[in-house]
Amino acid sequence: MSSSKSNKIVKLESSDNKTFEVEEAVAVQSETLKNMVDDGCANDTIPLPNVNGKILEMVLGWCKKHVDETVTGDELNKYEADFLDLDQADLYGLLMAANFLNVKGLLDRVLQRVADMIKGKKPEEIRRIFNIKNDFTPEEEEEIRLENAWAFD
Amino acid sequence: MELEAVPFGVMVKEVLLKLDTETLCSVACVSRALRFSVSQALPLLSSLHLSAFSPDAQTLAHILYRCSGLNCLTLNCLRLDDSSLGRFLGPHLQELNLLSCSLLSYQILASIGETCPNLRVLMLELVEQESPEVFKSNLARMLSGCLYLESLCLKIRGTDVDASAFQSVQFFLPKTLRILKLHPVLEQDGIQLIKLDLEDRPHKEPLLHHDLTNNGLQSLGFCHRLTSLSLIRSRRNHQVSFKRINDMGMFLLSEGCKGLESVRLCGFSRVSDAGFASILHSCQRLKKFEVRNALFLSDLAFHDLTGVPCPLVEVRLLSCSLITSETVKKLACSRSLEVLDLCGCKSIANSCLSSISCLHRLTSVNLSGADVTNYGLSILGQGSPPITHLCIRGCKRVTDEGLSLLLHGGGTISKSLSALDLGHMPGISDKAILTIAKAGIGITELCIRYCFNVTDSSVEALAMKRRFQDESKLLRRLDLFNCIGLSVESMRSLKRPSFPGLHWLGIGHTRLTGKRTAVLTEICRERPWLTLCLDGCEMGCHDGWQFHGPDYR
Repeated sequence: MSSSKSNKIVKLESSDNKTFEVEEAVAVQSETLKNMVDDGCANDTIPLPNVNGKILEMVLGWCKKHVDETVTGDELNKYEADFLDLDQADLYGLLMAANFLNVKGLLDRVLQRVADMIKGKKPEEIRRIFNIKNDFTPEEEEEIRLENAWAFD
Repeated sequence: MELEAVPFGVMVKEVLLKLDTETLCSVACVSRALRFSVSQALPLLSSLHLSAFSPDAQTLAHILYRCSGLNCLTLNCLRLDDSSLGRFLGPHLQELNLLSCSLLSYQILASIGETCPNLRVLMLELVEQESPEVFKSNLARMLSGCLYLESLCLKIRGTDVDASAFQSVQFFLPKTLRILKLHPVLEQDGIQLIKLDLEDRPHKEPLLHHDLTNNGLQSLGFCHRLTSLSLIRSRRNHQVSFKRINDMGMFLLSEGCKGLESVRLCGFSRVSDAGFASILHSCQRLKKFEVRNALFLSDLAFHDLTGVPCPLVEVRLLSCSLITSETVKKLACSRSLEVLDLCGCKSIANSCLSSISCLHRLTSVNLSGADVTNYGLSILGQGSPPITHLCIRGCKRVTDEGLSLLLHGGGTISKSLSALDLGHMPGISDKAILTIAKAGIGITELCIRYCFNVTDSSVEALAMKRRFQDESKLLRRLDLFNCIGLSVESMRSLKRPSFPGLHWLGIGHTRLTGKRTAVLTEICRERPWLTLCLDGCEMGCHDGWQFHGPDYR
């Protein structure tokens, strides 16, 4: 089957004014970008004000790897596992970017990673990891403890 | 990371729904916003599995009233009576699994029939009470209410269960039923439970307990669509077996039921290697193979296994003393092997561990009673199988050194191990337990029953497991039965905030159950969800729940 893949290049600009050029096939891994391409809005540089350069580079790296036909299943698994070995700030940036750009596989993986970070943790630990303030009153605290303490106390 | 800033919809649906119930309850205690998120997520859960934790009525109410979307419920009912459970039955339930129902009466069957008309799957483990007549009438009421039942599993446990309770049950079964499992504890001359009129339905697993003959197996051979077969005759402390079945019966069975994917054969004392091998060779789709108390099963039965295209996933050869590491070598050719249970196979030695060290799907290994030493553990400790369950009960030659080699070997097991059984091991002392407390980060279940050399410092170390390492999981179940090296002082370690999240503790036959029952009461008051077993049951009371009466604490 002859491939009528256009070698069109899509240009993207991050929030910190870095530009990236990728093949259309790579860009359309993102549903958001795919819609723009389909609607014919992808002819000029597409600005992405909510995604910074570092994160955008990561996301595009992911998309490239998933379009590359020479990559084996095992290699892809390893890539995905290593990819998510990030510090929190990057993980959060990646989460927001994957959500905004709607890159399905990536979003799911990042969410799973966040879930894994929370699993089995006690409330104080979750607060510490994610820097969340305890805003319960002592009465509320007692009430929810009664309901939930069986899980971790 | 501003967790709360993550778009609300994304949070609730995606992250929270990937979490288990315990974590969700923990997240609910973090902040107001997250408490609200959890309250939105819980009704989206369609199934709830609490089989490893025995909630008291109050805790159960706290959990269930927030989960309004459930249609599938699995509960460990060790501490629940008819009234505490009755509240949660309803037409929303399609699948109900009630385990270890030591306090439930036969009435529960009638209640289920009345309140759960949409039930498709039902599993109940009940204690024998009253007469079989009461059981039959309640069962009939259940069956007349649950008209869409597709799978029914009823187990009645007790000391001397009268299997006549199941007589003529086949006349009441709804037409939709495809799976039927019935479990009374057997007596020497059992009773015919299932007639072969079920053979035309695509049923999965009939459980036959009658005096089976080779002819009986031949008739079973007509059930060409049989995918799962379980023939069990066993009784604790009694040697009972199918005396009229020999190899011929097995040949006939394997000829007829080539589609079998799961086979469990217990009590076939007259079948030799040839008989068992015929099953392995004939059933090309066989995934689960279990044989217990087969006196004549030896390595020869597995000799040709490499030539057989069997994608074996679970192999259990229990109390088969002729089996050696040669069999394990053959079994290891099955790359999809996940469970290897060789409990009671005394001739298994270290070399089997080298054979399995390359199996990437292996998660459960039982080498209870085997001739394994510290060297064997060092092989396991360096290997790549992601083993989560390891039992080396009674491996007398293993010492503290072995545990260290296991958890510090750099292999996958140090992170993956979640359940460890070190019962009946005189070579285990405080040093090993300290290693576990510090390095066994994934361990949530630990059995050290009958370890005489374990003292109070072990209990202290385990109490603080979480503090050693942030990544360390909460210890949920601990068995200290007959640890006579423990003194009454170690009770202090059982009080909050030590042992956070502990759900089950076995302390029978130790000094902890002596005079200081006031302290015990205090501990139970602080943690009403903690199940204390003073009777010597195995982990989670899975084998002795039927003997826990209403006064049980």
